[in-house]
Amino acid sequence: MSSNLLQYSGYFLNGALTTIWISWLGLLLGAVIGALVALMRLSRSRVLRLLGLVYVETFRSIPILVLLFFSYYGLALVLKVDLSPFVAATLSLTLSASAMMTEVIRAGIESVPRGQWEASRAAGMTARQRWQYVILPQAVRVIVPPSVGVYIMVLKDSSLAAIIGYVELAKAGLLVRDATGQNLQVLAIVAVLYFIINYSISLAGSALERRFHIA
Amino acid sequence: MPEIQNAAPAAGPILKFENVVKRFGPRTIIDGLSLDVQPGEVICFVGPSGTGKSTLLRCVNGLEEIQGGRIVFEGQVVDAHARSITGIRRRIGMIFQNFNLYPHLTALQNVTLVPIKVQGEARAAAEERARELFRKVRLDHRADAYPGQLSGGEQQRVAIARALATRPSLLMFDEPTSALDPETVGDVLEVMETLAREGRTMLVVTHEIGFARDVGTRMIFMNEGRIVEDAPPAEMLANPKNERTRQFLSSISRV
Amino acid sequence: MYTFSMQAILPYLSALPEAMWMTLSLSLLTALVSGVVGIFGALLRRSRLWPVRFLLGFYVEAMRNIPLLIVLYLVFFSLPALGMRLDGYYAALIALTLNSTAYMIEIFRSGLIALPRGQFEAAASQGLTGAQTLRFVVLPQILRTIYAPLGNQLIAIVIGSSLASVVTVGELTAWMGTAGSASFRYFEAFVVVAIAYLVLCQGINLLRVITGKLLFGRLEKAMRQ
Repeated sequence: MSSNLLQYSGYFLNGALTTIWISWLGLLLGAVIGALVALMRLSRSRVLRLLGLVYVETFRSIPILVLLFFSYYGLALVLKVDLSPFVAATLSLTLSASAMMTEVIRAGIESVPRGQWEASRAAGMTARQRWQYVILPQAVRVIVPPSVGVYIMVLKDSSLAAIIGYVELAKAGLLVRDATGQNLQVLAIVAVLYFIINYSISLAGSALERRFHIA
Repeated sequence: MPEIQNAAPAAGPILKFENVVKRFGPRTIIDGLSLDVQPGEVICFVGPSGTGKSTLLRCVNGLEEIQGGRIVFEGQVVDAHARSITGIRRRIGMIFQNFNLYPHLTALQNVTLVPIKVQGEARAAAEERARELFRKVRLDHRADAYPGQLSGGEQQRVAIARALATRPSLLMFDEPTSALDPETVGDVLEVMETLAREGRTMLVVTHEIGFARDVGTRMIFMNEGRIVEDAPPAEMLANPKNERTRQFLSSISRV
Repeated sequence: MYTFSMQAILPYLSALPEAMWMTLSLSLLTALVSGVVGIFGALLRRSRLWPVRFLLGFYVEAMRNIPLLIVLYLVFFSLPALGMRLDGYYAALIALTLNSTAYMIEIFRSGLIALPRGQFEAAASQGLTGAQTLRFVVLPQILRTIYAPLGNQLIAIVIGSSLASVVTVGELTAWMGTAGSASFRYFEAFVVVAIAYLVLCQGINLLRVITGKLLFGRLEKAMRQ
């Protein structure tokens, strides 16, 4: 790397931190929505189940880039407000993450054996107690490991926010490129940074999974 | 002049092991073993597990490569990595402990796969011959079943039919009854006996001493990768010359 | 209040079939090449030579951890350096294929791992060549176990092809950008494109279910007994 690029390391670092942060936000909000949609998918009501399915399949099928264009340009026209790139990016990542998290959470809840529900009901627990003490503690073990995979997906998708001008790692790289003209070098640095971030997360994820397995 | 089929080349041995050495990493599995196999012999290999009997068979058709000596089958040196190995393998039928049938094909398709798809035989002829083989292994009513629908004994008999389909001049059985339920062992041994009576050359790794005694023409006791004793079965069973052989034979007859 | 009006984007709809075709052709080519290369990559990941295993493992990890957008830019701007024309379509095709191949390798590998070693030994002892083993023994068995993840990968390819719009390929997402900015009707354009992607992806889903039922349903039951 030329010393020329070294002086931009602050940009790269800030970009990386922004990438990690906005992806985390998207994952978290996506998990909240995903939990609700997962409950719809598991509901006794046929209508709710169908709505949940349509939600998941819709946001699984629409590319992030399309969501970004829509939320940045389209929503502004519809709602007559200007959405910042940050809000548009968070919204898009959240919607996409929510579809993935729905399936992860649903699988987690379904992994709790039927007998556990029956036993907790027989023990006279309220619905709230049942979830708090019996179902969730068991489901979480199944939900967390694949959530790490979803986080990595969201983190990679967040690079597309660069297209609407949100300055995360990819956009930071493009800005440095424009300033220095060192196209391929800068892109290579950005690629390596993404690799380091995601690979570390996946290593941490496997460690987590191993701990869950033993416990 | 009438054409003579299946004529043994110049009446020499069909298979020769010359000072064969097989190592897995630092461990020596077969330790300088030499042996001649004549056409029509039924050789039963016995001995404690882990003494290289199965490995020896797997070296013959190149499933394992050897580190020293050579193996000559029908005048051709076996080289696990040479192009010639596929031709050698088609002239050797191998039967595995775990059958290794193709689960996505019916019993009949298991038998006809190589004749039709590889050797280019006409489907009708190959299937006719397969039906014949199914009669031989007494499974003609199960030809259209999938392996998953067959018992272990039935699967092993399909595997024997499959091995026969390429008209091999040597059959190798690697503990063919070890994975079977006791009640199905007899069916498989019966089929093997029929094959032996036809004069086929067979190498059999087995713990079935009764089969070795009644059907085998030669019994070889192996220990630590070497041939300890090599004699007609009746002779070895009645009067084992070697102390190791005696120990082993009495240990299994006690079971 | 916003008034939804499909009327406003009608003039742009005539360009939609071509955009759709662009998305389809990019996706199909990517799926085809990455599928075939993926099979051989998966076999090579079991190579006896550790440098081969290491390089392939590294390639897979790189592609799984670096965003497609960055790979696309790298390919796009490398083309001139490799003496090729700066062409968005080829850059997108190469980047998508590089990315998809990594996932295909992992999908086929998972199928190979599930296949017992005895199957390879039986095929070898019958004198099947490598290609014959692949065709008659390996692929028919692993396609049954991996057709679900394969379908997911096809959907991922279709969605990934949206990035081609970034390097000026006129596919579906690019159509949305063009129609939206020209008519100022982003919302309507979004609805059209969203439906187009839904149709494509759900079409793949449907195809997967039908293939599964037709090809493997009966056999699966027989094999499992």
